[in-house]
Amino acid sequence: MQTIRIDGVASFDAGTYTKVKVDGIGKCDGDLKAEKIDIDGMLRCKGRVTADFLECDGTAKIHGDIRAGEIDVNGFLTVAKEGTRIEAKKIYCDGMIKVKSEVSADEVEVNGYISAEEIVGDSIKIHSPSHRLFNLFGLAKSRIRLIEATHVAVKGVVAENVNGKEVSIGPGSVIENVDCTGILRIADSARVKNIHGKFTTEEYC
Amino acid sequence: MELISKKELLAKTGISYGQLYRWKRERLIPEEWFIKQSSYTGQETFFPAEKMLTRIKTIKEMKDSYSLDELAALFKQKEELAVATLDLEKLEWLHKETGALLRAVFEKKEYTGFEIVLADGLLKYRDTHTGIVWDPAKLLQEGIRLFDAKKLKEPVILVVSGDGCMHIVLCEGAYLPLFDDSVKEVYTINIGERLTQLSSTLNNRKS
Repeated sequence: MQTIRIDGVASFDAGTYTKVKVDGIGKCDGDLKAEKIDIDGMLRCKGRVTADFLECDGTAKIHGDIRAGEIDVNGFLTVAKEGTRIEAKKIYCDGMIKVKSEVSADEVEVNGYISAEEIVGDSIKIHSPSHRLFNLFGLAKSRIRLIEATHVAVKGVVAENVNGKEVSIGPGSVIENVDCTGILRIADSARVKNIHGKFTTEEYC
Repeated sequence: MELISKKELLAKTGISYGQLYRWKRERLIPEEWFIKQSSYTGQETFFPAEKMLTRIKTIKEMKDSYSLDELAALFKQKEELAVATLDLEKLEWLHKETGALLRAVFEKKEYTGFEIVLADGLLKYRDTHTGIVWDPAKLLQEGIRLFDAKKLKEPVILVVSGDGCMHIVLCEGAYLPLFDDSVKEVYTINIGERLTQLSSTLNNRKS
């Protein structure tokens, strides 16, 4: 298996690689599989992406599903097509992730922004700061239709439904429905319309 | 088909959201079993109750002995099994006449997983339902003919009795048919789960 590095503007073949490094602008016309994909520039991929480790400090636009061991986004990652999804063991995001369908991972930690139809897994933590730069993109808050996990902690999030065993709704969050089966914490400045489930309330701190 | 909500499923089985979604990602639970329906909260997910409860029970029983990848492979390979005739006699949980029934229908060196579990299921049904006299060999032939004609993702065989006749119905597990009042009894053979049991037994024998 080979390593491929893009410094300028180039298209490369779909296939399996040891490492794909994109410092320039790279385009792949099909399914891409690699042990490590490192994007500092811009990557556009028309197919699925499978990697042990996917790091995006630049911009990536993927038209198919993404399946990875670990995903680390400090830049911008978009999964463009309707019905396509991200699946991983761990997802870290200090930048921005935009997915039309589902994000599923054991662990999701977002300190930037994420928008998705559903984010599901074991531990989901989304703490989106209010930031003028992201306000310019209309992204003052992360927006998700359903967040569902064993442990959920959100701040600065707009969501229709949040379901979990341990749920913390932090400041700046606007949630339509919360369903909790364990411990529920809601910050005073959070807005939650409906609360369901059997839970114990604890103070948010 | 009876459905169970996601919330009821977690409460009943004791598994967590994390486990449910991990098993879905690892393809231990088929995507098509996640059935979305409208509810007051927008959309809620339901599952085929019997299949899902059986699958989760199987995963919980086997997950300490197999990795998730191995379990996924077991669930996937089940339809591709081929078992030599001589080995049938060594599988204690099969009905003792399974080999004889298969040989009566066709003499082969190896039988597929489907042929074996269907023969076993028909014989066990015959032993427990003696009201109607019927020929398992004929139903076995029909069942194999149907299965070869139509590949289904989650095949379920229904043995249907009514008006003094026995019939065999092949259907997709998530969409079981409804019958009129002339049907007196419907016996279900969940091919998928029995194939998993068979492949697990054979893998245990190899190791």
